[in-house]
Amino acid sequence: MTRLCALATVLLALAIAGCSPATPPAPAGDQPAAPGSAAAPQPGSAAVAAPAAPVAPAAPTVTLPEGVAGKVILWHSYRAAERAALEKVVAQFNGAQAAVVIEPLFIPYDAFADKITATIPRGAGPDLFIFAHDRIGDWAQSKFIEPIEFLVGTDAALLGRFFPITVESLTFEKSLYGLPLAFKSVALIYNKKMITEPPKTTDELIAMAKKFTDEATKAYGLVYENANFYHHAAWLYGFGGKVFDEQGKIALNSPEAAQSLAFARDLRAVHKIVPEDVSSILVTSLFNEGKAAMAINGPWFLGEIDPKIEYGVAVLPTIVPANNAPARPFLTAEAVILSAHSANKKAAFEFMKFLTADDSAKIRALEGKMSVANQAVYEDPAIASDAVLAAFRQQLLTAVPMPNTPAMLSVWTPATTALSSVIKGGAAPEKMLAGAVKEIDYRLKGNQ
Amino acid sequence: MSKFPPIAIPALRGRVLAFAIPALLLAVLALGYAGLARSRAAFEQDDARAQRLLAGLSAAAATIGPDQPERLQTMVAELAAAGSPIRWAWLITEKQVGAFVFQKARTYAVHSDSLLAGTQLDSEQGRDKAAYDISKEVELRFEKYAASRPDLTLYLARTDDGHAIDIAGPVVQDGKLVGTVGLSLTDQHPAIPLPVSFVLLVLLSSVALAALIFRFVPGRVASGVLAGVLLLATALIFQQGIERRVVWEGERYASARTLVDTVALDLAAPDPSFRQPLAEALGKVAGPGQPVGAISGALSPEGSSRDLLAAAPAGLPRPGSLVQGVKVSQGPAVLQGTSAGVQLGTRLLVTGLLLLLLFVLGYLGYLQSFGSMVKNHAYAYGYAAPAMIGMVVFVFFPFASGFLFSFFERVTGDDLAGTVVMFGIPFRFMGLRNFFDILGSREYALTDALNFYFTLGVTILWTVSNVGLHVAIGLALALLLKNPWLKLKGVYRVLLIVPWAMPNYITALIWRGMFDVEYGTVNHVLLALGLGKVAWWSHFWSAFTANLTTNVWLGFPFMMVICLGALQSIPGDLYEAAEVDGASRWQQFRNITLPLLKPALFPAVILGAIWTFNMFNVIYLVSGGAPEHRTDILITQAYRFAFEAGRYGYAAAYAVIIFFILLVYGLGTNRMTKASEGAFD
Repeated sequence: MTRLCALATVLLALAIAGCSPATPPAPAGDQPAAPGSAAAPQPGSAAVAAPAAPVAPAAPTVTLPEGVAGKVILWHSYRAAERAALEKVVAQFNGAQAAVVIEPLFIPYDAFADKITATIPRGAGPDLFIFAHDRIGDWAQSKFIEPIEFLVGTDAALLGRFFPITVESLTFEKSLYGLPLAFKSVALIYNKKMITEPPKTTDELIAMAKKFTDEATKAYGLVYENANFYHHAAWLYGFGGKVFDEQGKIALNSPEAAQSLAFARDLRAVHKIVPEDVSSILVTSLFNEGKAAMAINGPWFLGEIDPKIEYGVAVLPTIVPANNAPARPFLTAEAVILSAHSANKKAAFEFMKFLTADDSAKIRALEGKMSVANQAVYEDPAIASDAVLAAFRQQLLTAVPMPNTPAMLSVWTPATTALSSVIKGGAAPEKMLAGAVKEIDYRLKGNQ
Repeated sequence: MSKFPPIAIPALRGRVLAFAIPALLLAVLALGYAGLARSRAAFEQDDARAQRLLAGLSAAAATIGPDQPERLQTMVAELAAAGSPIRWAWLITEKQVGAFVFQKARTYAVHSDSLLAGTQLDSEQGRDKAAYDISKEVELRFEKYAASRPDLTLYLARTDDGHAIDIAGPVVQDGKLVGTVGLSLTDQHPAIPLPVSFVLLVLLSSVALAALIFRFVPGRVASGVLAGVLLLATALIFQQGIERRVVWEGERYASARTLVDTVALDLAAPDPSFRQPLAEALGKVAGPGQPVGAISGALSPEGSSRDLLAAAPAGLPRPGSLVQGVKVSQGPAVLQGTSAGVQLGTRLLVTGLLLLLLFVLGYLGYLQSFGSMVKNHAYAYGYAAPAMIGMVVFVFFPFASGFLFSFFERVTGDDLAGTVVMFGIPFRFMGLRNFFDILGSREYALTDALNFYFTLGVTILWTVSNVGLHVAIGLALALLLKNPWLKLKGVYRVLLIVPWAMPNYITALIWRGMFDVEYGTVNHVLLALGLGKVAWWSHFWSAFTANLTTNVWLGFPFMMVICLGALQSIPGDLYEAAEVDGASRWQQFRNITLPLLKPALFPAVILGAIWTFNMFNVIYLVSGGAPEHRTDILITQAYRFAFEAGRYGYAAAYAVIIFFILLVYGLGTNRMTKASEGAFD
């Protein structure tokens, strides 16, 4: 009987599987780095403590098309200054017209994606929500989110106000899902006490970093999560490697990708400028103790820097072994996304337009300290003078949108495993990449 | 063990009942199947019609050019006038606006509201959005399948209310997609009545005939066989009759509609390619008595459909009058091979055979004796019922569905033809393919970690090494604890049982942490001893050792408890006698302890082996199959195939194979256990 029961349990599990949507389950604790944590930096933590400069209150006018009215629920996970900036824009919209009421609701970031997946199909979720673009493919395929190009129609000016790459990030299978609010990518963050002129090339970076590296005192020239595939993407794409080719096939097993792995390995193994086994905690603590001259990290890191440390942000250096090609970090676009089950799509879309308008973007940039996606905002003198925003804006030029296809979910774990066995275990890059591609294909086989 | 009750063929009334009940069931089911065949046939015809109309429209759209939606408008109007149930139709062509590919100006035409013809899509119009979404879907499919599977570029779906079909397809010029065309049709299949009186009549005559057989045919075997044949014959008559009355009827309507559509399409945009279907449709509607040759002869390349209809024999229906029903002769419109007909035949055959079994059981008196058994022990069965229901729901149903799944494979992509939807997921019947693939190592080479035999080898190695260590350590500890001079026995016992008492997944997670390369206790101890770090998950043997260590930790207390119990029951005087005889400790162990432990230990070993064989938690949580699935055992591999690779059918086949391996093992060891039961006798 025990045998029967044991088997029946397995079969029951299989039968239950039939009921659940066919996405692979979230990998349990066996993976080196949770892709979610790397792939979708927490928006709230980007808030820097600096008090926001007040923006001259311009009374915005909103004219709604006829018949658009009702309540629109907006979910977000912004905190502190970002939240205040968002709520200010919401208040402006609600004050400027009477027909549509926007109700913002804060949802903690950790629970956000799960809540979206759990509520929207039941019609209980928000009308609009703010999230990173990397889940778009998954949600679009499950028909949780609404393609908006039909609502955009022939309004070329609406999309023209954003950096094109941020709009591209929100595109999946020729449809547009959401309007971009902000973008995030890693850049070079350096300690101004140690570095006066940030390095332009990787050779300069290595030379500079060596000066500050002393294994005995555990001081290093560069700290970054070198075994994390999200951070490695800057080198991978910089060398000309890719995760997917134009047809959407896995293209990770390329000579360029192998070169990038070897390069990242040598930063530790040959040049010894990066510590062994870097975790995000180690990056923060070394940088805050003044034991790291440079770090590669994103805007969410700025909030964690000790106020005593004077830091600067610069574009990642060009890669000398790749013919001085620029490093190309992953771009995460934060977008306001329309639920497919919203009962009030037109009103929601009106607010999407308002929220992403240049005037609102200015408030979010100045008061929320966000790297907003509107091109015109950066011409504003108040923003142009902000060195941090300018640096991240400069980094955007070489960033590549993080793939938003559902297939990417199957890439994180195998790619990170390959990366860490090359960097930590000294395995051959080509062999590890071939193994990773095989594993990814296996995971994708039934899901495409 | 239950025994079959004796055969007791009942009296005449009982025998008639034994026939009448299956026959009645057959009749009821036949009517149900007729209803299904009716709607299926109707659906098939509606789909075929939608495809025909769309093919005509897109052919026309490609020739008239996407910039002239008004010509499409004319065509749609002709079709509607001829009686086609078109609700609306559209043609979407694209002009790019701005920098982004998805931003397009679109033009379209709608027949039901001429004001909207040729306008741009407008978000204020509810149906515009639907048309737009469908158009998008067609574009995506064209991109994916234009080269490999042109049939899949077609979009066909029923609207949510089920009363209309939306169909759309690409408009192609010189191999390039220039637009999409689509239409929405109202479901218009005729209301074919269910053949109730026919079924009733057949049922009554069949039962009457059976009664006559039982009454007048001598010999109980002969009359039983005859009645059985009669039951099957009844099923056959049902099948034939229903096919004639339901399926053929639908097909005749469909032929009439083909005629209407083809004529209308040809009138709207004269096209020689419509002539052949027109001739076929005319032939079918006209039936064998009509001069088909004369009709075909009228199909000259120059003549239009109008000429053709003029030349058609008198009495042939005209477009527009056809939809309300056509009087046609029985005839050539036989639906041999349509899926509605085939499905009806299969269903009735299977049902007939099952009911034949029911009849045999009734005829031999088994059902009656089963009934009286339940009646006599009503309380007992009543009390057992909840448990039985629980078993059925939680054990047999999952078991059976897993078994069923193993013959199917999940279908991904858009090619959904011939799929079965189970639990909302489309599956395709594969027969024994999954089993052949797994057992024949078709996909993965023998040295590949995903190969079945590789995994089986690892599983056997895993089971044998585990059980061996469990028994060895368990027995050794039990012997130690048995020592009379040992103090604080109770404390040791409790401590040694702790690993067993903890939930095994918690233990597994703790060990997983202890084997961590950087921060794990194990590596720190190794470093302290002056040995190097071990990257536990990078090599097969180290990962396997980590798994083994965890599971030995989890498994030895069970064996220890069993051994302790069994050791207590060995009479002490045996050892005394042995000592008197001068036997050494080893001889005592070898010749007294081991043989007397065997009866208790043997079932424990069998049980332990089965547990270990399917020890999912430890493998999944400790090594997680690392490196590259090499330390996976069969059960975790099956789980991965199901939930990581999404191959439910393949994984179910794995589970079935595991079941059979354990079944054979269980039966084999069962025999050996019985042989060893005599030890104490």
